[in-house]
Amino acid sequence: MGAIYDRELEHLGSSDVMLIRVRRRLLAAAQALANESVTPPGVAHPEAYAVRGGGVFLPSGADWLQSTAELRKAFVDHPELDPSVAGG
Amino acid sequence: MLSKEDNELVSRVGPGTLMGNLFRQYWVPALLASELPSPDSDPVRVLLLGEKLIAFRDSSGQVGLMQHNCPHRGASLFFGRNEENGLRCVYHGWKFSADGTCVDMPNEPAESDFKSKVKAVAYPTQERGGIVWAYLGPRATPPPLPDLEANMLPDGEWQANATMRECNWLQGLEGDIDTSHLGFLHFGARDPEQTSANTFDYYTVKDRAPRYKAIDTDYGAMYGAYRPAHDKLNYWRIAQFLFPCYVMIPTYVLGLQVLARAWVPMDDEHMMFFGMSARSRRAAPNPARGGTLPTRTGMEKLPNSTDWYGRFRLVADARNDYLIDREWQRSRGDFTGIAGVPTQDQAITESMGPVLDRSIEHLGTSDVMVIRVRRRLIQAARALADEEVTPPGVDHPDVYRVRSGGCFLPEGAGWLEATAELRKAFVEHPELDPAMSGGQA
Repeated sequence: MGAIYDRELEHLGSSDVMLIRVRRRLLAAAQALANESVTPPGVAHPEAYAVRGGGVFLPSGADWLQSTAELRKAFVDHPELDPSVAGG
Repeated sequence: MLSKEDNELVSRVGPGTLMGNLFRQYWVPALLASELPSPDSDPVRVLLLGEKLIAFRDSSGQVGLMQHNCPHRGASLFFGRNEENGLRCVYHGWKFSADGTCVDMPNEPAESDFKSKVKAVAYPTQERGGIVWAYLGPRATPPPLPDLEANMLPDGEWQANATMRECNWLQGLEGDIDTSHLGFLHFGARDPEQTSANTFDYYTVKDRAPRYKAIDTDYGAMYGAYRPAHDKLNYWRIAQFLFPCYVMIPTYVLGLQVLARAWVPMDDEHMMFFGMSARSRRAAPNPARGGTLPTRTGMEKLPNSTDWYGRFRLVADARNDYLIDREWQRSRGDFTGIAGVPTQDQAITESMGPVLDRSIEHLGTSDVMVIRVRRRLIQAARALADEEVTPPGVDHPDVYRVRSGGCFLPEGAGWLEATAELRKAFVEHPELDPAMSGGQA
């Protein structure tokens, strides 16, 4: 892409929703800090970082947020889960 | 000299610059066809007019030339997989055909029509005489290729080569239209006795300050440099500049010499020299030529790498002072101590710095052609920018049908009239004797 890519040249598709959202949040936070001295997310809330990422099978139609609330918590043991579902 | 403003104008060739726009009116040599040896061979990084491009040969043999950033999110297509008539970006699998059409977008849902809305920036290409030509310009239908004879010979009769040079393109080109440096940079240590009497070589060394004529032409400009020879003849060296970056040099015999030399900007500080010529029409080199030749030719090249600046590099370069041999220079074995005529040119034009500031120059009478060519380039670039004047030759490929070289003309003969037939391309001259050059190639 080069040292600093000119993102005006991009053509973003439906697979790019997350990075679109992240760029927007970064820009909004930086502007809010500059313009209104708004403390950015997490600075005063270390506990907000106590989360986990990963894969899971859910029934189709299930609410993904509700169904994964416990699994996304950090510092929790899950002896009931089978690591082999990842396939390696 | 040039004002700093004109010097910037004539040196900078990136997108949107005046000289860049002038170049983009023409087809330009982009790479040697041999750099893409076979269908689906490895993609090649190509810098051209300040643009980073990827060249590839697809399964059908067609050459694609695309901007290297994938239109999705800018990953380099250099890493792409060259497969089944297209280059597939390895980041998300988007695939492009040689004309830039997006033919597959496998990370979008099947019902999405996003694929039809995305096109890679791809430039038209043509192959001829060992050169891959590219058109980076604005026309939907590009103009014709220039009728350069050396690039239009039947297969087996042409040769093409390339050398990268690490300085601005015009410094390279100007060395090619500056005839008086020959007697110094290249032949400075040579005495007339070391050449065959009454040949071009002989008079080049005997009289190192030729007189000049220079004129504008429909393809660019032409000069004749002349000095007295035997039997009330003058030895004339006749050469052309052809828009936007070609030179036909005045070595060898006018009427027999078929060549074209292209000084193609890669970016403002690097160029690719392309040499095109007829194979084996030259006289055998004269063993009596001066100096003790070293075992090296000076033209040895490093293996090409895949770097933007990794194509056709000389082993002898600025980092090793071109392997200068001071003892060879001191003993007058060679004026420069640097092996190889093209390497001597390379050393001197690179030594001026990446982009010479021409406001510091002091130009003399031997620089008439250099002055004329700069003026024509600047005028053509301004006329295009200010009045949309199509520059010389773009729509007239036939004006490129010319030849350069040396000849003996009677004193007082009109050089233009006397050489009209000899300067025409595609004409055989069995009556001419190649030996009159003295071995000059």
